[in-house]
Amino acid sequence: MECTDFKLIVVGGSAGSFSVVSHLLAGLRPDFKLPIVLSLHRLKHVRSGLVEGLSLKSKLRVIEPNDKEKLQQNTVYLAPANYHLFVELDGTVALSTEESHNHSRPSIDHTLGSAAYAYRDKLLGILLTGANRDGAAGMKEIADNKGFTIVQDPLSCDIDTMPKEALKLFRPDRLMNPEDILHFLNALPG
Amino acid sequence: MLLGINDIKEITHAMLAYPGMDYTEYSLSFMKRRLTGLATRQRIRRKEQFLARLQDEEFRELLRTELCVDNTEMFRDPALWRLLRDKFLPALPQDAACLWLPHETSGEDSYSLALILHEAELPCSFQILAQSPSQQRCNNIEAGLINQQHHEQNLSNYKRLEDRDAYERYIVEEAGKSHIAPNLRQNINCLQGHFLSRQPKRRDIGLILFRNVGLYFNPKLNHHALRLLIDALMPGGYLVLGLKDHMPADLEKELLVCDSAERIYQKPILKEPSYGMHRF
Repeated sequence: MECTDFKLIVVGGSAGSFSVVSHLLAGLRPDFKLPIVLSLHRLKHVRSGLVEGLSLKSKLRVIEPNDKEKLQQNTVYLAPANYHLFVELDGTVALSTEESHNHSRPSIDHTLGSAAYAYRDKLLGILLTGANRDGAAGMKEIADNKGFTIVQDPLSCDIDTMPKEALKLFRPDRLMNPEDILHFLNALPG
Repeated sequence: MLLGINDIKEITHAMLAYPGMDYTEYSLSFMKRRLTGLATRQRIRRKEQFLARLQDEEFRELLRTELCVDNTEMFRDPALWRLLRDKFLPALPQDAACLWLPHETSGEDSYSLALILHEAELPCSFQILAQSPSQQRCNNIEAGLINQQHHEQNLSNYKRLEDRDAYERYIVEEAGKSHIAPNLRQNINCLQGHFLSRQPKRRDIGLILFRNVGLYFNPKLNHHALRLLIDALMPGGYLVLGLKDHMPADLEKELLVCDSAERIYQKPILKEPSYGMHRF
């Protein structure tokens, strides 16, 4: 499958992913239009620091959205601490304090699975380094809904549990190291 | 069981036949998650089975309980509780007597409120009114039942709030379960019923805690709910939302933003007519 007509990018990551996401955001074209939703495992009770840290190098605006906020171009949305982030059919964000999933809130599976349902083949899902299996099922849902999937090559991961769990469930469209993911994103039209 | 959007609409429409069960304006994705979860646990495999089970009051109570998302812990967002204790509760209007939680679930916000009132030695004449659609939830709150899985987090939040280790002296063990101490829960009263269809008939509501509830409503219902709460709040009283809750711009204009980070709003005090202005 080769699709470039994406409307949304969702990225999941856990242990070790901050530096990868930082690298991606620093290297993206300044005119990169597609909204990006980040669902990263983070300390539940530390509200500040992560969005500020990611904003330091990013050429795009990075925010933690409020509930019911519409996804906009040129913007990166980071799931807030202690909230799940779901993507709705109308292109808005729905936050939730429902039960933790895989010991995580935000849960990567929840973000990826909801986006898969809402955006189907217009979705690009990227799963990065991490230390548990959260995200694997969400990535499979993206694949099942004909979205495009990229999994970070386990050889390039700080901790490869998360990508390996995903690879047990489905075969992604691409297995890439962070530098190649960045080239892929910058080559997308628009 | 997989429920599609049309199935959800059909089920929520059927729920309308029962008092206090209007969930038609809840977010569809939320309803899909919760109904699917309940159906799976109840081994309901077809929509028709779900619809048939609605006739059973026990099942409806299960459903009401399922649609109340638990508070995640006591003292979630410790900075908010510190502000309430030190700044806003002492500044409540003189006539305020009721602190209302219109959609309480696992009781942890009510217990947190009771505990800071106690520790700040604020008037014990305040009544904490915890309302829930679920009778089971009301029973649990009146009994002061605490989710034991949240114990470590409650303890950690309390330490961050109070900077000391006194949390456990407020917890008692009863029949192998953890409860908030009786002296704290004596000011907590429960009202069963959905706040959208049944509100307390009183004019002394000085504080409304409505945190992370509107997350599960669609924008129309969220607006309606906030309108209702603002109207129920006495002038000078405070409305507290969840950190990421949506506040429609037209409603926000009616309120004073007391703390934008902790989402504390105040209903303005009605000004006395300034007769002097009209003298000519």
